Amino acid sequence: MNDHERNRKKMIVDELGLVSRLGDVDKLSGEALERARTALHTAIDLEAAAERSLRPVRKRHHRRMVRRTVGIGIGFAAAAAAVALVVVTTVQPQASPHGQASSISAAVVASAPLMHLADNITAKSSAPAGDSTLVLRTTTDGNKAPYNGVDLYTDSGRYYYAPTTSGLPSAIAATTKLGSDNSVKFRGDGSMQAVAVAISAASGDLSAARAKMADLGGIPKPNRVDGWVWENSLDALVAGAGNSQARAGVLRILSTLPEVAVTNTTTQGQPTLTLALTSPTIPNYQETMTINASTGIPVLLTGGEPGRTPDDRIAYQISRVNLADISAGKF
Amino acid sequence: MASDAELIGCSLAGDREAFVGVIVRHEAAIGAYLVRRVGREAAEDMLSEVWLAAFTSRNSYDRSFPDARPWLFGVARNMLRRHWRSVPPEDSRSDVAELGAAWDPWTVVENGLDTHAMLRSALMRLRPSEREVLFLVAWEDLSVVDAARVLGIPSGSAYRHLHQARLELRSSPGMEELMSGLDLIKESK
Repeated sequence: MNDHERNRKKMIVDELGLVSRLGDVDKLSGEALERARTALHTAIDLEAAAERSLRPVRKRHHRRMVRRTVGIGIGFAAAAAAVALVVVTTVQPQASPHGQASSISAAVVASAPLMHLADNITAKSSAPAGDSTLVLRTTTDGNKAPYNGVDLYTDSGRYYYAPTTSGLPSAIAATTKLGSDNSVKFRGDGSMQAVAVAISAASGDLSAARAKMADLGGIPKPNRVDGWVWENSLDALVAGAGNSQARAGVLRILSTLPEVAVTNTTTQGQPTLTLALTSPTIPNYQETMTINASTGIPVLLTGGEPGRTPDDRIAYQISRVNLADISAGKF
Repeated sequence: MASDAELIGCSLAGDREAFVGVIVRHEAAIGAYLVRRVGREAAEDMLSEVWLAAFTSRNSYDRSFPDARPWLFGVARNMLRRHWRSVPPEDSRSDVAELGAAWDPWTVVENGLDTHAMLRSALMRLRPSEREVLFLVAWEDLSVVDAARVLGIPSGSAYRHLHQARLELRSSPGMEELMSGLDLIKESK
């Protein structure tokens, strides 16, 4: 190293040293660090609570959830068609989450009742009242006593949970204190993304929306697409129940699943449709979602052995509310 | 000792303490980063938001990187950008405007130079991208590769930005005189 190089090297080191010392600051106090940790602990606890109560049926049966292969699904379509499926459209070949062509592309079967209901919902759609959707859930989990949960999905994309309605105001206040708006979201995030996809499906490219709904599962394998579409669509149906476009979009997407059987039912005296997804690869397990026959709003989710009393069930009461009212304890 | 990536994996699997373990490792560094950018008071408020944002997005963490510090800097940087967008222009501060207000190592240099103003002026001549890499390396003690991770740019670009920043600083008016003054200080000690 000659003198020039030595001087140049010293100059470079000193330049960084100058700038480095210019950035010297006193560290945050231990109390400040502790406060931030406490906020994080609170968020973790809230998420854990929401996780426990959000979807017990599917958590319990997570491994059994019908995330079947598409090929098998097509085979199953023949049996399902005997219930209520008719061919009404063809979905263009679509890329799997990792770009592989999906084998469902050849002949997608759509459910006429779901498409019909989606069209009716779209035709009747109007601006919903309020700015949030309130979901009251009563869960019966096996032999345990029923328990409740309350979800609040705001139209702006936020999510709150409390075990009871009376706990919602404090849950909203606690979350608000944790961060500025839109900076703190919990388990509802995925559901909100699903709602956005559903809305896009209401009048847009159904094939693309279906692929996006599958992608929300974040899975690397294309052979589980239909199961993710089903699961994420149900998320969207509940979280977006207050939005007619979201409901219509979900029904359109579900209509592309050949494994979904649709039957006319009656629930507490009201006409309903029951969507059933039975896996040919998982013996004796079926999930059903019962929806209002004219609005598409979820009424009941069940999981269990087909033809028998479901092991798990979640009954929904869904309404539109204003966040400000809920924050103020007005229900 | 488990890596940050392993702890994040444990957190995603339901371990409620694992993510806090990650935070404890980096809280001082991220806290100082925020203080430098927005001042102590705002930094104290913002730190919890950074942790929450990191926690809620931890499933997007690329666990092929054992060290989460650059990722956390990236989360903090996003929070800062949101913060700067939300404050009125008259309340915002540039990243160099108030630097080093409490530090003046040149008070013994009797050459009449306004050293702070000079260095600030030199830094202001840099492109923002060059300044960001320079600060991440000089202040946050990150490697150039890690700085690139924070900024989401290729490592080669970060090296180039740092090189340009150094060249620009070196050629800034008064810098050579300042450096000579510092050399005199060193030699007198």
